[in-house]
Amino acid sequence: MSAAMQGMDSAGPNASTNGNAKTSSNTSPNANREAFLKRIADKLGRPTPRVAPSILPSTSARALQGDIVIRTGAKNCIDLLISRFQSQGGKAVYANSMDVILDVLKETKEKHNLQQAILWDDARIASLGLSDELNRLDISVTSDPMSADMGITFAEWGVAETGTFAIYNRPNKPRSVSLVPNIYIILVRETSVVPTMNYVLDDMSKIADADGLPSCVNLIAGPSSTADIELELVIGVHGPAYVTAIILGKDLLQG
Amino acid sequence: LSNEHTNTFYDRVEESLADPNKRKTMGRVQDLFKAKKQVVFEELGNIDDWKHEAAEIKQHTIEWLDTYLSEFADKVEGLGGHVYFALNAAEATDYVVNLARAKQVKTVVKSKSMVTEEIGLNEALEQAGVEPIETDLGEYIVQLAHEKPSHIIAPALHKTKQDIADLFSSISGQTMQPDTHELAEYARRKLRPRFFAAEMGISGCNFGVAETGTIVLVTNEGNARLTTTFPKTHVVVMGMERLVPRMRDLDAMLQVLPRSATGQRTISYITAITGPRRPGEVDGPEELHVVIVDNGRSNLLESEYDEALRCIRCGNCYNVCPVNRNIGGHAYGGVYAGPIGSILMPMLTDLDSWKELPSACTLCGACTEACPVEIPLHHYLLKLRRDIVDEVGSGFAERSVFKFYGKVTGNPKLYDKSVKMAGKIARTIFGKKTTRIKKAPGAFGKWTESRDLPMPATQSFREWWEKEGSKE
Repeated sequence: MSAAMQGMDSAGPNASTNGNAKTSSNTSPNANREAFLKRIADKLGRPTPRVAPSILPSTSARALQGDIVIRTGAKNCIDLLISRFQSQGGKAVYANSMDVILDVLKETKEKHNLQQAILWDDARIASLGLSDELNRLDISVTSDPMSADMGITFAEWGVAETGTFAIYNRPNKPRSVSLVPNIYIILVRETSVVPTMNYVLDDMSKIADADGLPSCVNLIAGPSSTADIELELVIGVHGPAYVTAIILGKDLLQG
Repeated sequence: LSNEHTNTFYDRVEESLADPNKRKTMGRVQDLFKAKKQVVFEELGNIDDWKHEAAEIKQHTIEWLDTYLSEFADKVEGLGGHVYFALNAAEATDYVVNLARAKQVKTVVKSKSMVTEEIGLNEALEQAGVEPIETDLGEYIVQLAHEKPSHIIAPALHKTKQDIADLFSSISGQTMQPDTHELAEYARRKLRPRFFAAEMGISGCNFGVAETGTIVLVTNEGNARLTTTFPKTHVVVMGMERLVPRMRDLDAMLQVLPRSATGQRTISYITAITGPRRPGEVDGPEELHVVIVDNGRSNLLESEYDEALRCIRCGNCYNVCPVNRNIGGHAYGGVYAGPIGSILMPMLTDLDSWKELPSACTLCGACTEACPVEIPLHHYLLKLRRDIVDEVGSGFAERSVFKFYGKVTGNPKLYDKSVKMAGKIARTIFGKKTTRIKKAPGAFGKWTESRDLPMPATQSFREWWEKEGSKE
């Protein structure tokens, strides 16, 4: 560990040490970057190419895999999403009416003595009138994630193959809502369910081109869990222990 | 690089073998992983296509590493993040320590990161009066016990529930039961407030996406999410080879990593971080610093071991290795253990300090078969033995023995004579009725320390053949 201890007293976060490496400058981070990249180019035995490679590795495994619904024998993507998410410790329901959503909320309230919920400020959630429904169930709506027992967010995508929901965090749609409360409810539109992860990755790549990639995207596939003690599964070690996904059927989709 | 082992490899192996709990746990872990993995690999159908795709993407990235690092750094900076290129461990730890000082950081919450273990970041922070808190449950246990991780995926696997209950009891002052749920609950309660109080969060990086400057973290617990959501400053420490070119390249990576690492189809949380918090956002770090670490990795670029840089740190090679099953991760003595550690440790530092590791391998090839990015692990281990003999040499005694052996086996008469002689000598010393020698003298003593030595046969095969073989 002694090498790591050298030069501890140098000043400024960008300062580098003499160590045993040849750094050309102690002040400019750019000089540091150049030296670093040059060393790689030297070891690779060529100058750093000025243009990006034109031939990229193929991503053909997905095509070779075949249709995921046919291969798994599932009825459709929605069924596969539900069964896979449940097999990973989450709960998932398909809702074609508001009653199904209310049943989930009532059941959760009874089981966990729900007091407070936090919701994303999201037009899709607002259009369901969820705040009013929560109040009617005697669950107050808070803006403080620390005091909430339940968080509700929307998901941009549901991924059938891996039972995953893609959460795009944005202003008014904070990361902590899906993270801090012990109970978490995900809403997703039926029309946003895709068979496989490449659809989500392509979307992220596309919106990044327009500077629209959120600072944080969460791909959530189950409750927080650990197996660090003797490989025994424990649910809810740091994040939500109870996760329910509600897939909103066509009749619940407006606008 | 952490080079701190003071005892020899053989001492460490002795120590591990003497601990029956450790061996039992490792065996159980390997069997459990094997069963879980089989299900999720079969479910995928065409696992070989996915492995091959993952291998090709990583290999391509290594061959264009400087180009992709440039693109990645430009993107991160374009989003308002800071990028620092650290040639070695000292540069990396200095940068983080100085940043912590400048921001008057008192505590740092950390999510699991092997590269921070590699560069000795916790020790450097402690020296500077900053408290680093490991928040991955396994890492938290190992840190409280003042130990080192024994496994890259499950760092505290060498400890039993009772060990952990004793540890937590001694710290909390209350008696805790060896109940997994109770122990995990205790850790959650203890750690939650630390995430909100810490001024800095430090994470590793499973994948960096060059085209978008995105940092991808793959976790089950959610501690990495807390680490990257609440502290004002987020520092990412990443090995320089963590990149993939495009977002879509993650498809294959995310298929093979959880399956190989924990036997899961996917993982609870895949977190993709692109730059610091944006205007209007209420959580996420205000500052994002990405420290890209070489620290010996470029040694591999020009070597015939470059494919080892494809490694995605899944630990699958640990889990299938019969040697690791018996000696456990700690016996290897380095941050990286198992088959990949036996390649990385000598290649990242020097051959001499780690010269025993490549020989701690039966060449069974299970690791190569298990590797999700097609690293020819056991072929590399064999090559490394050759390199070690070439560079480090093999000692006078070993050379003399092989010279003598070569002479004897090269001459039929001499060979016959020595075989007969060995039998005679052995029977004189150990008696005619002995079939297995329990304690042998001299150089053979090393052998009988751990197993019996069979007695030389009363007649050699050649003698037997002359008498019996001719009857046919």
